[in-house]
Amino acid sequence: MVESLLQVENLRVWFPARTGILAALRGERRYVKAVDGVSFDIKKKEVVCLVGESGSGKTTVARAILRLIEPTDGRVLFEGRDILSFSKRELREWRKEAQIIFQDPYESLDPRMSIYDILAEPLRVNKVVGNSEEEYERITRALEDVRLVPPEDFMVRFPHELSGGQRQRVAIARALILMPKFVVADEPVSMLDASIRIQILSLMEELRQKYGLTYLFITHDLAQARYTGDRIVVMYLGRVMEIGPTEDVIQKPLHPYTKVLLSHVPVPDPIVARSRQKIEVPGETPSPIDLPPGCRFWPRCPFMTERCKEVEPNLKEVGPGRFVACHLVS
Amino acid sequence: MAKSPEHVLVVEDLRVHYDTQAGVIKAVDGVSFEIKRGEIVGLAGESGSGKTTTALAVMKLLPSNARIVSGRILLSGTDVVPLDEDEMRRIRWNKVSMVFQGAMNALNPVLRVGDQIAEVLIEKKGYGKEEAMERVRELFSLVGIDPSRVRDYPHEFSGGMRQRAIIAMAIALNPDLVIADEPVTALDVVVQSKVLELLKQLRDKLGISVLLITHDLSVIAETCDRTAIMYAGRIVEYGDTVELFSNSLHPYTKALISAFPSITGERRTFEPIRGDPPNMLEVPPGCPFHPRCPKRFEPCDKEEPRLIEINPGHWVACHLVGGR
Repeated sequence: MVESLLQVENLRVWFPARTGILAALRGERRYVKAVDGVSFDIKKKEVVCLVGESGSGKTTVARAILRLIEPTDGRVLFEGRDILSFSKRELREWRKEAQIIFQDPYESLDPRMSIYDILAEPLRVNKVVGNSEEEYERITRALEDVRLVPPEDFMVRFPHELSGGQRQRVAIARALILMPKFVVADEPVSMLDASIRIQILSLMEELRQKYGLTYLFITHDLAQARYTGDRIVVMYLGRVMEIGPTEDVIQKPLHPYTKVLLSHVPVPDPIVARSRQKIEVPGETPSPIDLPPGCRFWPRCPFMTERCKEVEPNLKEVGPGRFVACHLVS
Repeated sequence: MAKSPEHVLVVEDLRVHYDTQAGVIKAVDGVSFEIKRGEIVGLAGESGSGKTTTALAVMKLLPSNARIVSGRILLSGTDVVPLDEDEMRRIRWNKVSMVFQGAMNALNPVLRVGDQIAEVLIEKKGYGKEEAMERVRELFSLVGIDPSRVRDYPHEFSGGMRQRAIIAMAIALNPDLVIADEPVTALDVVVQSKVLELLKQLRDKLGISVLLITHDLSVIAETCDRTAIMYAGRIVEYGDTVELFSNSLHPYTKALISAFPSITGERRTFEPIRGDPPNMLEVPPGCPFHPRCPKRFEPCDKEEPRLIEINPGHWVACHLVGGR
């Protein structure tokens, strides 16, 4: 049994919703239940893909795990220690071990800082280097790792002098410079051109192997998840619908939502694309406020039964490593 | 290429330059293609390939620092290149309309959706208010929105419905051609596939032609009859979509197709395309793809390959298949 690096247990992130004056006077409070009882784990050196459409809560999960936003309830265990109980000091220490790469390399890098300073900042803030020679050396190595070579050329540049792909390489170098164990990558290639995406994904995989990293990869794209993760966690409206080894989920989805989603993913092959059967569903993902009772997917589910309207299905193990939250699957 | 009346759009050797402080950018550098009635043609490429500039040139909506240097753009037989803004205003919406990227966020939030579409009919067609609203209801059902919702405001619509409303507006005056620039890029997967389905239905029902601009080859594969692949302001390959995917001849087309992961088929390994897309201020000499091309040989960095018809309807610009 491979040890878990991270265990998420019954995580909840609720945001107070804006309500009308009357409701407020009556003392009614409404919440956007962005994440509502999410559990999964990530093994050491594993890549888990958290997949969902907008409003699924995938990005909120990622941020809550790193305590970039405070969860409402639940536990997040990192090597067995609950990070939600960490003091400010413990949290600061732990941040060296858990880093994040954001979607937009145009916004995540300070335009006024040189690449050198962008990479030096985490080293200085965390006081992990003794002197400027050591700092220079660490930055040189970080740039070499992400293939921004020769490093001397890139250090002195500013973000606007780099292409989108090069900026994302800087963001990766910054995330890895403190030698973390765990990296959250939030749609790290969505803004990049197709030809650059593969370069960045291959680089991330290479660095994962080199440094024994563990990734939580957030994406809306199931096709990309297929080529990125060991396991896939599918979310819908703040809940986990299905978890399983990547190829199992892609080839034999069990949850109706996963089946619907997969049937609509566009396929880069015109012959397959035009012969495929798409599962018809009404409407679009509703807002995560005022959710229906029962299963969150029932109003759109083509296989819905009466029970689905009343009882919310829990995530249960239906096969080795396969978890599904659906009354119809046993 | 043929110029029969069945062509709603013929673009011939189009060149569009931008004057910038850093120099002249040849965003579109000798592009030719045509669209027949009832056809959905894809224009695919990465950022900076010139696909959006081509679309804006057809609409004559280029920014002020851009100019059409040469070429012809025949819209239902009329060359729009020499037309002035007054003349263009009569053609836009009537003969050609455009759905922009993120257009669903462009609806005026304080006006009812139905009124915004009716306004186009009143202004351009001289409809009366009642007549216009009747037509809006008809358009709503055509694009799959409940006609009783003509009095809704944009915020009462979901993202997918807003995009449908924008499409309703685009087809309001029965144009021959709708240009859709990344029409599904910001939408969720299920909504995306429904909007693409709608474009195909409108083509079947109304015989509308669509020029679909996208960076996403999966969207092309799902929707387009024919496809042109652009790189550095040029079309490098062009033909029937099925033929283009199953028998692509240009190394860039091959590399780009294989850069798109699929949920179907066997799991495979990826060959990254090396290097970055070209800086359009310093486009490499010869074939613009040669610095990144795994198959480049002696003439590629010197001579630019011509677009030649290698099989009936299948055009390629690559020295590997001729073109000198």
